[in-house]
Amino acid sequence: MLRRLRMGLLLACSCLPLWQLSAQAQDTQGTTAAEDRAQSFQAVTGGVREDVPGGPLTLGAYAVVWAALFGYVFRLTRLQRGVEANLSRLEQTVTSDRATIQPAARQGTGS
Amino acid sequence: MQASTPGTRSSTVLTLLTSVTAVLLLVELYLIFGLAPLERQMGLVQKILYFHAPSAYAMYLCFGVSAIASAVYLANRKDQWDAWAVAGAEVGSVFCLIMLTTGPLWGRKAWGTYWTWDPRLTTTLLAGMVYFAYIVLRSFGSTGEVEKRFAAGLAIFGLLDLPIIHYSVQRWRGTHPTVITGKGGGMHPNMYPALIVGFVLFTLLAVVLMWQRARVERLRQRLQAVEVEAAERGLLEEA
Repeated sequence: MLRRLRMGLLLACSCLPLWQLSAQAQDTQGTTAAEDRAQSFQAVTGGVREDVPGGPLTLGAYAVVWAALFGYVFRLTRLQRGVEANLSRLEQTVTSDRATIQPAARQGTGS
Repeated sequence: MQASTPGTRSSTVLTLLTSVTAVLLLVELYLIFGLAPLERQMGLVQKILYFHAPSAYAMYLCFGVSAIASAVYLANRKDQWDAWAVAGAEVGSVFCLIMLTTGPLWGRKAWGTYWTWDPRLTTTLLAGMVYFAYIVLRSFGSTGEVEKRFAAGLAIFGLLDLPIIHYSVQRWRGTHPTVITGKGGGMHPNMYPALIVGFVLFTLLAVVLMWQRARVERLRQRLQAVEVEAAERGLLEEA
C-alpha cells in the first residue's frame, strides 16, 4: 500500500512539471503570435502561407497612397492656374483703369 | 549679372526639394520591394508600414504647422501665417486620409477586421475630423476675419489631440502595433532603410506640398485684395 502510494507520488511529481511545461508552451504559443506581430517584425523563413491574401490589400493601400498624393497635386495645380489666371485678368483691368483715370485727373487739375 | 530676388530663390529651392522628393520616391520603392524582406506573419501586407507610419508622422508635422501658424496669426493677424495654417490643415488631411485608409487594410490582415475602436485609431479619426471641419469652414464660408479667427481656434484645438494620439498606445494599451516605439521588439535589419527613407521622403513631401499650397493661398489673398479694389472702382461687372 505504502509502496503504491510512493509510486503514485513519484509519478505525480514527475508528471506535474511536464504538464506545467506543456501548459506554458501552449500559453506562449497562444499569445506570442499576436504579441509578436504587434511588437516586432521578423523576416520570413521558408515558404509563405497566408490565410488572408495580402496582395489585394497591399495593392489597395498603395493605390490609395498614389491616388491621394497625385490627386492632391493635380488639385493644387488646377487651383494655382485658376487663381493666377483670375489675378492677371483682374490686375490688367485695374491697371488699365488706373491708367485712364490718372491722365484724366491730371488734365482736370492742370486746366 | 542679375541679382536673384527672394521669390526666384524660393522657387529654385522649392524646385530642388521637389526633385529630391521625386528621386527619393523611386529609392523608397526599391527599398520596399527590393531590399526589405517579407515579414514572417504579416507577409506582403507588412509593406504597408513603409507608407503608413511616415504618413502618420507627416500628418503630425502638417497639423502642428497649422496650429502654430494659427496661433501666430491670432497674435499678429498677418495673412502669411493664415496661408501656412490653411496649407498645414489641408496637406495634413491628405496624410490623415492616407493613414486612415491604409491602416484598416493592414488591420484586415492583422486583426481580421477593417476597423476597431482602438484608442489610437479613434483619436486619429478625431484629429482628422477636426481638421476636416477646418477645411470645410475655410472652403464654404466667406474668408472674412471672423471665419479666419474661428478656424485658427479650431486648428489649435486639434493640436491638443496630437499628443493623445501618440501616447495612446503606451497609455491605454490598445491593439495598435508598437513595433517602432520604445516598447517594441524592433524589426529585421533590412527593413529599417525602407522605413527611415520613408520618414525622410514624407517629411520632404509634407514640406513641398505645404510650401506650394501656402504660395497658392498667398496668391488667393492677393486676388481678394485686387477684387476689392476692382469692386471699389466698379470694374467687377466688366471683368
